Amino acid sequence: MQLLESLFHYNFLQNAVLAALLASIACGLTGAYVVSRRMVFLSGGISHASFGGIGLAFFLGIHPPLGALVFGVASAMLIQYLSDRQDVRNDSAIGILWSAGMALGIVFIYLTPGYVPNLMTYLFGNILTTSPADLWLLGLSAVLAVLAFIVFYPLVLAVAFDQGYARVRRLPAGAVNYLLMALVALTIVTSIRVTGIILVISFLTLPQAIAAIFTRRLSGLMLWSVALSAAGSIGGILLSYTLNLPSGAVIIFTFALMFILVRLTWWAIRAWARRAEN
Amino acid sequence: MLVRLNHVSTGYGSHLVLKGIDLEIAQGDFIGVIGPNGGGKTTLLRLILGSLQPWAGNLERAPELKTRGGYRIGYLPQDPGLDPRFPVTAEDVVRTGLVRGNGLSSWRRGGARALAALERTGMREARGASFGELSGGQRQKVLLARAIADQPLLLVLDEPDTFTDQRFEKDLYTLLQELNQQMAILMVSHDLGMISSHVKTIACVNEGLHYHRSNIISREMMEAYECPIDIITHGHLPHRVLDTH
Repeated sequence: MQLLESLFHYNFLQNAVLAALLASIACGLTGAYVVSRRMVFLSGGISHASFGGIGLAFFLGIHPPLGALVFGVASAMLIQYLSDRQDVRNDSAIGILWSAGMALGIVFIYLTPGYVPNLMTYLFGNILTTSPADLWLLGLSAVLAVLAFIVFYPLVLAVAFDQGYARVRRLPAGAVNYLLMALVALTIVTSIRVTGIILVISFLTLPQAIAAIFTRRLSGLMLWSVALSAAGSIGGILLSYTLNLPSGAVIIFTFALMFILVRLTWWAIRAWARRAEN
Repeated sequence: MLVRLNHVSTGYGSHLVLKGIDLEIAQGDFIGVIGPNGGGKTTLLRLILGSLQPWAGNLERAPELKTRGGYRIGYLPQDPGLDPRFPVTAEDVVRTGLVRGNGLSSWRRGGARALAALERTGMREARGASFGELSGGQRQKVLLARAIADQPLLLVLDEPDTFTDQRFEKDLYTLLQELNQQMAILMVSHDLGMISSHVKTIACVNEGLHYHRSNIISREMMEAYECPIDIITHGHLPHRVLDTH
């Protein structure tokens, strides 16, 4: 009861819940795409490469999320370009961008005179300090993700499932790849304030791993992921507020707990069904 | 005439694969394509599908083969390397074979046509099943349904009988005979026994292309094109004669 009262009372808690909801929509949808196409490592690369942009923004004295956005989208485009050319191993390219981006960020932050505030926020996220500007950016990626996956769903499915066949059928596979890569980068970068660079991957993979039990289709995976992600992240925020623990970490613990519970239940049901059959 | 190749040469990079080949595919054709590995069988298919352009010579397609943004050619690729864990049902796989433009309107209209295609390949019952959980033969039937869902005039198959069992092969050839009533078929295969007892004509590809309007593989064909042929008989003789060629 006290929790609900605080929720109505404190603006920062309302912002946090709204941020969790928007991040769940954006990450739930794009994460389903990322997991289906086995692009999880790539998403980690984009997320870490964007730290270079955050460092540079601190150094130049501009808004850090802006730097992250430029670096994140640019590295995503570069990875897509290199994987189309096929003369560089895709995973090597990701590894290089991953570490070079982080290194660049560290150097720039070292060069920035004085104390760098909020650095930990970018690494580990803090949903309780979400600003209205963060919310607008998150809202933008959520709206773009919803629009992209509604309007282009059949095209996305065709290209994601069988790119070779899509090309033979003259579907714009290249454009779809680049467009969705940009969307993945935008989603990651705008979610960093909520989850942090290191933990953003969990929003793109954990709800999807739970959702996979409930559905056989990409669209189902998307919807279930959004719902499970919203439930887990809002639950996590309230739990972290009650226990006075870091929000990002508690949200991910909540996801992991949901994953274990759902899996165990699933196995139990299957084992029971098999015994009933025999 | 659906497709006509006139002295066509093509390849990859600087590597010439097909040299001055002639081939004509007409309505009602059922052509088996044989030839050694690396001889250019798949290259020939890619040329016909339009994903590879001729370097020299002339490739004509009938006007009725052209459609908005593509050709009315169905395609069953050889081992497309699909991820068995991709979240997609058999029905949705077939529906991706109908996508045009951004796909939204074709998707809404696609349900009935996808089910009709699945019905034809005997996979309607499995429409809601996860694609990755199907057997090799069942997956081929779903991919064949995807290939015919858009009602092509020409169906192109690249070794449809690899990775499958004998029962599937029998089903497949029966099905192809039926489909041949509505569409021309061009099929690459290793299984010459099967090919020469089901197709109407045979083409042998080995850099060049040897084609005569018969399904008898001649000695001339074997010698000129070094085709790995192990059967040459028909009629009352035992169906498979191994020839140490």
